[in-house]
Amino acid sequence: MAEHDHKRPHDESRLVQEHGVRDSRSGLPAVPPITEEVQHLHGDIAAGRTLWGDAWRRLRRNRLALVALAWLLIVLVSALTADLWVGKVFGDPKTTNSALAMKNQYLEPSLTHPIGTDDFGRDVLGRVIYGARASLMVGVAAVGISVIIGLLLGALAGFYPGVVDALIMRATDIFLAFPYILFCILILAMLPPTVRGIGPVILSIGLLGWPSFARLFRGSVLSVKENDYVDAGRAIGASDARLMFRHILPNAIAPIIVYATMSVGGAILTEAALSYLGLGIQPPEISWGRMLNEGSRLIMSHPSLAFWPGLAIICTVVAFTLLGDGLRDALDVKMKD
Amino acid sequence: MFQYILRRLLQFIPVFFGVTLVLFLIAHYLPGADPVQLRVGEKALDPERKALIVHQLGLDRPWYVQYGDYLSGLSMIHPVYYDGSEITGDKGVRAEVGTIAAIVTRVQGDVPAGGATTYTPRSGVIVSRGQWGRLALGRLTFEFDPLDLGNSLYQGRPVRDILGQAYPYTFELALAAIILEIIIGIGAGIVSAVKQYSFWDIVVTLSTSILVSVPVFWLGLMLQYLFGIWLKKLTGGAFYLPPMGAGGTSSNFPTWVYLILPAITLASVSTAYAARIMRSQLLEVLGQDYIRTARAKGLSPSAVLWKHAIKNAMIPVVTFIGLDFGAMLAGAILTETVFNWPGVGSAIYKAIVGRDFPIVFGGVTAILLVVMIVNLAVDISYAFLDPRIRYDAGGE
Repeated sequence: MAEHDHKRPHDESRLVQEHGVRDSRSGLPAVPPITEEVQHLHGDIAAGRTLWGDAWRRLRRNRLALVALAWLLIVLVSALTADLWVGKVFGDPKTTNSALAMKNQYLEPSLTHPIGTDDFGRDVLGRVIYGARASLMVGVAAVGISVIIGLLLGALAGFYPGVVDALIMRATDIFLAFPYILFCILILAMLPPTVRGIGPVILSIGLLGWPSFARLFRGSVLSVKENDYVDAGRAIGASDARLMFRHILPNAIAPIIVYATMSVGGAILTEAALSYLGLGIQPPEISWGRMLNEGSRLIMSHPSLAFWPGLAIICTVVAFTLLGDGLRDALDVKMKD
Repeated sequence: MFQYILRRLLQFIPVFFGVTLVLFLIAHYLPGADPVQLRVGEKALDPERKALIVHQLGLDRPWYVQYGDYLSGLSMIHPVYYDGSEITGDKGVRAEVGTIAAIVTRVQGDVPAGGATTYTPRSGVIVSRGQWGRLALGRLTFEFDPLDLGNSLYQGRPVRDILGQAYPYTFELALAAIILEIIIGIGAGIVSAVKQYSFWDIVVTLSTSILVSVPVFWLGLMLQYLFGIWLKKLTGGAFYLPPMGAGGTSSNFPTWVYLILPAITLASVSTAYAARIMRSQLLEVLGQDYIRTARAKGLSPSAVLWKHAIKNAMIPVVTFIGLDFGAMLAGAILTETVFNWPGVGSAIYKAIVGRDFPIVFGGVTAILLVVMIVNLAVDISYAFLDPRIRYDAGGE
């Protein structure tokens, strides 16, 4: 079923699976080798140089990624601090006060209301800023859940070839065989409307999004596992868990970070779709998807109510993609486009 | 190649059972959801009545029996005991065996020869419908009655019929969208790769990057507004469909005109992906040795491009578009909702709003089946498209 944006990560990963298998299984040098010449660049102190420091230096040279990062920081900071100032500057974004609705309904953009007001006389910009909270929350938390499950299962599959590997990989096949938004729709449609809200949205996206991460991490683990230092660790008697978390994980995590960054945008789009269908965030709570749901009914008379939250979604999703691209280059991860 | 196809077919089996099992588990054991209420609708039930319904619906049986029941509903064949007599239901419903057989999915207990027996309807509504075919073996009749997805709670019709009615619309829309995707996606990808770093390349790269981040339904809404208000005079109201809930169109334009906006919306994101894949594939192919060889032996640039490069670069794009067609055929819930397009996606959306769970569950099941079958077909056709698979027996 084609909600395009949402099924995309899966179709993509399917294509990666079909055509890029060699890349993720053999390639994936998870970290760039740290060589001596690095030590004297810029006259930095050698001891202070880390993988992440190098990555940051490379990222800083990527203008697009920096713009994306700046935008995301602006969105994040204004969302986090929204409780402190949005109400004072733009008025209560969740009010359904009918007196206010009479007075302020559908105001044109002005200095006090930069992009106008909605059917309840609430400031649209204030609501867009407030809506960022739920949208970002869903994006980050859902991907967080997917990453954790994906890391665990991917590590198990990569580390224990044979039955465990086969079982986990067949499970990822099953979950990648269809667009996962369908299952989100089914799950959320079954819940009584009173139970719906941000929690079930996060859980449904998070619990269904892990297979790509598991597959990706399994590939990294398989390639990193062959390194001599892993054998050395095993030779001095390190436990499997220690090998996994101290030796393999830090060297296999880079592609996961890149893919996770890109996936946050996908999760935000999924939230928007679910909320648009009335299955996600419920009023009076606000998210960008919820605003689109409400704005869609007034699209012919007041298109700006749907336009602005949509634009916020696009900018944020593009920003996560650009940041992911930047991180990929900075961390020198080879992924199939 | 046959090994490859055989292997793909074999891989399909665990995926099929896995997907249906996950679906089944969600539909029966989701915490917070009440399977009984979902199947009888939003009415208050006292515990006794509820226990009775649980029993009638068979929800008190072990999970694997219920899963088997669900699978047999999907499959082509119901074994139905048929002796030509009437059977009487526990609610006093009387009907000819032949006419209700499609609803009777379980005959509980042993069937007494020639006598009356109880049956459990899937839901409270008795709907008769014809069978696709029937095979009688003694007293046992096998009815060929595929995709028994239960009945709608409120419409009093089988879910299969509701979806079947919506499917032609979804097919029409998907076909239009896929044509757009093929022409624009592949075309833009080729232009962009052949003239790398040119103005058009930048336009394509930039617009595809943005397009994949656009919520499709937002694009649909904006197109609605654009053609419904801004360009209304210019186009005389063509292209524009009334948004959600406004019903069908009555106008003096041929129907295909109204297909354009939904098709653009549905195709938008996939077209961007198709263009990106086409571009990167073609660039990769153009950099390969055999292209240099072809040029060196004096082939004209257009012959090199069309006969050697594009032909090879197309394979992954064709796969992508094939998979995408499956996804579109399966029904685009968001696009169809925005344009009030009477396809499968709209049917599911309306059922979500109306809490008509059997339609939601049946619709999702049907969609997944279509997606799985089309994916399988694309995988198999891949064997014919890509000569490498033909010689490499394994395929991987």
